Amino acid sequence: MKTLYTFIICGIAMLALTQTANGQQRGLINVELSGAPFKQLVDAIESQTDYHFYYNPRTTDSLKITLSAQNQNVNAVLGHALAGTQLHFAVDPQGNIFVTEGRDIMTDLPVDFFDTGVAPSQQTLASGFDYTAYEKREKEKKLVESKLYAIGPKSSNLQGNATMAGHVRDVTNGEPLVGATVYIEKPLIGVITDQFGYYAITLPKGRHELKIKSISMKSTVRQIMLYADGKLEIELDPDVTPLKEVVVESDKDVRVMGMQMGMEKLDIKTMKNMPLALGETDIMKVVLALPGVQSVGEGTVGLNVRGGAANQNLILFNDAVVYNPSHLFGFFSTFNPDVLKNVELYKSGITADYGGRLSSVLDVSSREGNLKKFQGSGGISPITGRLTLEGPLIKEKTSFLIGARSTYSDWILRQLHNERLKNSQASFYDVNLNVSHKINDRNNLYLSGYMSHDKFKLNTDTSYAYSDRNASIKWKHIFNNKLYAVATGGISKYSYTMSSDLNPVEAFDMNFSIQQINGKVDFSYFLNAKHTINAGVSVVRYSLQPGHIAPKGEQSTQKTMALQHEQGQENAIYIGDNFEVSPKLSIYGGVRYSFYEYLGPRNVYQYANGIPRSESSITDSLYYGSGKSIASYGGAEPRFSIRYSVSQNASVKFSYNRMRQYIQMLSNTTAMTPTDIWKLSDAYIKPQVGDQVSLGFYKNTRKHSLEISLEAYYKTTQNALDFKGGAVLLLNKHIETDVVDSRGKAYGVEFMLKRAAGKLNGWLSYTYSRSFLQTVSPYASEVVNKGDYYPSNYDKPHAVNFVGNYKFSRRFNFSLNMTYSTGRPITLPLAKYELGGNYRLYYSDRNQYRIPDYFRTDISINIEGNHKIKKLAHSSWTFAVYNLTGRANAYSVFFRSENGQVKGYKLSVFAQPIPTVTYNFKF
Amino acid sequence: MTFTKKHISVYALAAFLFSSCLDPYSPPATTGDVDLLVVDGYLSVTSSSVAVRLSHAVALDDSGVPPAEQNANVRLEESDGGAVILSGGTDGNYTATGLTIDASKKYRVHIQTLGGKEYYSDYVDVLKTPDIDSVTWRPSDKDLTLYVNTHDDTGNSKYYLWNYVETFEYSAPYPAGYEVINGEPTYLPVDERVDICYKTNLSTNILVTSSERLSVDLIRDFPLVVIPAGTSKISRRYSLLVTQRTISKEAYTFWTQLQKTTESLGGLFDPMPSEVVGNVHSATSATEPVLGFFSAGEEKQQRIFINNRDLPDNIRRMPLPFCPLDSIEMPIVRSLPDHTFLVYPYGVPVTLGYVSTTIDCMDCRVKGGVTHKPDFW
Repeated sequence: MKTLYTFIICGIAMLALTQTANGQQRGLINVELSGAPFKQLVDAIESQTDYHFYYNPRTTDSLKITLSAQNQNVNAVLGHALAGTQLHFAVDPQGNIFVTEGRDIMTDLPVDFFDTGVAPSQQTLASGFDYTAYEKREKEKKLVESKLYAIGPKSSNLQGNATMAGHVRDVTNGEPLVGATVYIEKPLIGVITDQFGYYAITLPKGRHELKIKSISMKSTVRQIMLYADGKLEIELDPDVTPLKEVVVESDKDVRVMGMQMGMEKLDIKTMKNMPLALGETDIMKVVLALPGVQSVGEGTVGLNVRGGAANQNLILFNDAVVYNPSHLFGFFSTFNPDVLKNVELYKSGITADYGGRLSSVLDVSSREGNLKKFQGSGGISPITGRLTLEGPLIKEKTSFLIGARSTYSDWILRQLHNERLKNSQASFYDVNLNVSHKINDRNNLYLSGYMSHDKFKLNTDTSYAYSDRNASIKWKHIFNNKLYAVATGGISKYSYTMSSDLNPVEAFDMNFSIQQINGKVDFSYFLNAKHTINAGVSVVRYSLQPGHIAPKGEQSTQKTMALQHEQGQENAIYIGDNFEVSPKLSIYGGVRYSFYEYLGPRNVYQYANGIPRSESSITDSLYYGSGKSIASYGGAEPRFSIRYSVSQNASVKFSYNRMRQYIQMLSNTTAMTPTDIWKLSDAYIKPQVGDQVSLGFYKNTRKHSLEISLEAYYKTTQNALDFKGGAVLLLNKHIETDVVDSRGKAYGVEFMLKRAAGKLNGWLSYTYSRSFLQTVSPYASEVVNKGDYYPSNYDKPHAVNFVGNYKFSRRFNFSLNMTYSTGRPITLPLAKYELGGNYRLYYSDRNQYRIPDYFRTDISINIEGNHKIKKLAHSSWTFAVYNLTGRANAYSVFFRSENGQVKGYKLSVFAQPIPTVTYNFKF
Repeated sequence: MTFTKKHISVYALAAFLFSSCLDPYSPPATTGDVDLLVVDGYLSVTSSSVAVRLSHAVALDDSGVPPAEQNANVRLEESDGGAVILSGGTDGNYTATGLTIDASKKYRVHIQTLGGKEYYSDYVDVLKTPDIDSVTWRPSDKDLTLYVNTHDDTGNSKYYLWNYVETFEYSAPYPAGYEVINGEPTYLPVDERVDICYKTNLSTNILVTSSERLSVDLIRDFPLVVIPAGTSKISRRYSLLVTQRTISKEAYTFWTQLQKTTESLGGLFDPMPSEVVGNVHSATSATEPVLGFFSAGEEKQQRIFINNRDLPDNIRRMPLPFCPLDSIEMPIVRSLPDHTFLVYPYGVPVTLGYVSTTIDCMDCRVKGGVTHKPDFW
């Protein structure tokens, strides 16, 4: 190799020194060789012409030339002689011939080298060189990195600051890069691109070297001369790492230097590396591996973030609310991995632009379609099949992305011999559609649609169907470099139906639906280098059809019954300012003011004072006309965070936020079910209010390859809901009689050690957390556990997660995932007694015992196909084993009285190792 | 009933999709005071009697019979003050018969235990119960289900509770013809035969339903009993005596809650278990839970019979019993203890010995029945 470089250097030196005649006319060659060494050909050419050869004898010593040429030029002779070998040749205008192994040599200067137009000789020679796309981009990258960009009209006034703005995109598909860092080093000023890949940075006027970094993209620099406000669009190359080296690169500073705390961001690449439960990358399962996130059990829907209830999470998919992100009662999530870009989970330090739920914000964004070319991808796993297509509708302007996923479990069920299962049905599908359109430099439009549908029926009994649909439209308008606005409109609808025809007399159809229409306008204003201001207004209109039941079939005597529809409106205005006091100290202060009204038309029951609300204490019913306010609530929601950098690699952060929630889920089951109902706050059910303080310490070590973080939090919840024993929630006309007011408190510490990139990457986390609830009622008959605090269903004090990836090579990737947590609390029977011919159980204090601890290990191996750039389709195989140790983790514990005996059972869902194979493809 | 169907089915799905498993689970020893009074009482207009059973709850791992509350003073009190003292009490069962019950009045029980504690039930209405329309049965491919049908034209009943007594006739496959007495095989007289038995079981499940969501007060095909195909219950003749009671809404809530908390609970999609409180309260301590319920009303009964020959083949066909026959030579027969059963002799003209088999094949009483034929049979 070394010799090769020597040759190249010699060649370039020659090129500079000799300036002789044009090489095309140096004479023709006659040569007759049979099995001769290469040297003999060289001698023949050099003697007949004035060409001079540069080559490495070692690369040619095994070569035997058989050739017959009469009056041919040197290109033809060498072309013939070297055909089928690894050798390339290049002829420069000065008559030098370079013979190299494996790669061509460039004999001309790069395009735009002198920026004065194209040299005439290039036209003729360029065709002789076959750069791979990679090398071409490499070359272009060097060009743009060395070029000096003038920003703004030239002027001699270089006093003061100016703001430059633009987008950072992926050069291969034009997709915006979120979270890319754009900064200068002296003085250290930097910004991070937003969800559109947009950045705006205010810098002192003058010459700068602007650095741009993003995860899994090649870092780049731009030489800029900043005269006044202006624009700079930046494209980054994906980091195609050569086989032998691995470059460690990440947004390594964000955790320490960023303002945000209690936030986890995962991109789809990270998620795809994790072992799969059922052959599907499932973002909800990945999120569960993060510290501070729990669920009540394996294969359940809800996330419990920092001791909050499952309905306290705001789940957004492209800014539209998702009410039920699960398929098959929670065994799968509804987000198709092929269309996803990233997931952000905010556990604390939630900024003022988010509101409406207490615990967390899970912001799921899908990719935008490829702006440059058509592409497809898909996969086949044991349960599902999926396909995604994307491409430009108008090149460089409009793109689309459509993804669909469906299951063939129905077909599998029919193949089974078990009679019960044969008559069963379980199916689901989900569809995603995204269109993004660049109207012009200042206006972008994004359309997103999503739908998931599930159908479920067991053994010809009750059948269930549920569906979550939403659509959103987003318009981004850039006023100037300092100000842009995003207007979002969306509609979300969740509905389910239940129907039974087991007994024709009682056959029924029952349905429920909730719909919300929301609009939001959000302004981002980069006031100066120190202040970034974010403000906006948001309106959400809820309408619920809380339950409707009707007879099914002619024989049915079921009464038609419909609960009154519910309407409510939640308005909010907010403003927040990110203030960089000094490089060491940043402050975010914001406030959101939300105002909610519960609206007519509705008949509202009135209850007697001083006794527990019940059906018998109804005294009257008041009618409110359409649009009349029945109850209204509102209040300020302050949000505050502060970051102080102790050193360049360490920082301390503190945050406080208050959240209000005007819609809650009614559920008295341990896990969320698809048939849980949502209820708006009304005259009796007050909105939930949550406060959280958290403190964190962050440190990066060893050149940022290890990130350490420690966060502690304490939070309280007011007006949480609990239910009286035996409450029936479905089709209940006066749900307020079955509800008990309660409050909650939760606290914990989360420790995380993360290596974001490198051959070995992943994280290890430990969480200590507690979560308690307490019923608040003046009536002894309504309180749970004598009115004391009791552990919530998802109170799991200790949790350890390990997620590790090891890249053996670019094609083999090994992942290991280990999870441990304390068992969830359960209520055990205290005693048994005889009644009605059998033993009955007496349950008392809630959640005083725990099911056995949970432990699981999963592994997966990812094998990519070869990395040839040009081939029909790229494919990969994933082999995974879920629950490798086959530990029978308790899913639930229950008791039954059977033949006069009380028997306890422990149910484990994944009691054995579950191997899966998934095939993924991309074209 | 089907309306509030729980998602228990998800387990079956899980079982299919994944390899789920069900293991026995023994809970950790629970602590706390479990000595709670259990009151199970019913005032029957139909039989002009009241029956109250008083017992106590026991710890979950206690294998003994729950202790009865003995020698308490139990009174039935009318809403305007009249009272009757119930007799009995050594076994926890207290009764009074031959009562004159005024259906327009309300009744309650008042209990004073020997330990000095005092309890009252709520006053309850005396409810009318409509007749049972029919008790029917329908076979499926692997079992037989018995259903009850009723309706109330007045529409006042709405909430129903049933219990039943099932009785069935079955036989021993190789009935004993002889028994050993003083070392000699003796022919069993007809009235001592143990070839045919009758067994009686009481219902153990809580059978309640309501028509409140229906436009008419009609219960059709409420399933009471499921009998698997080819079982001894339907090997000869089966009888079911169904007792129907109209219950109050409170009682209905109590029994459904009790059903949920004891017959299926603990699954992630089941309601969280809670204390199920009935309508009996302690007069001395407001916080002392009292278990059980007291109701009053009419009882309606209906009995049906199902003969083996009326059933479809797939249900009536019995699996062959496992009865290994053994021949025992006379000297050994003579050494057998008294009352050892033998099937029949072998050897002609001289009896060489007797054929015998396992005891459950010769004596139907081993499986719990009695040979005395019930009066109604």
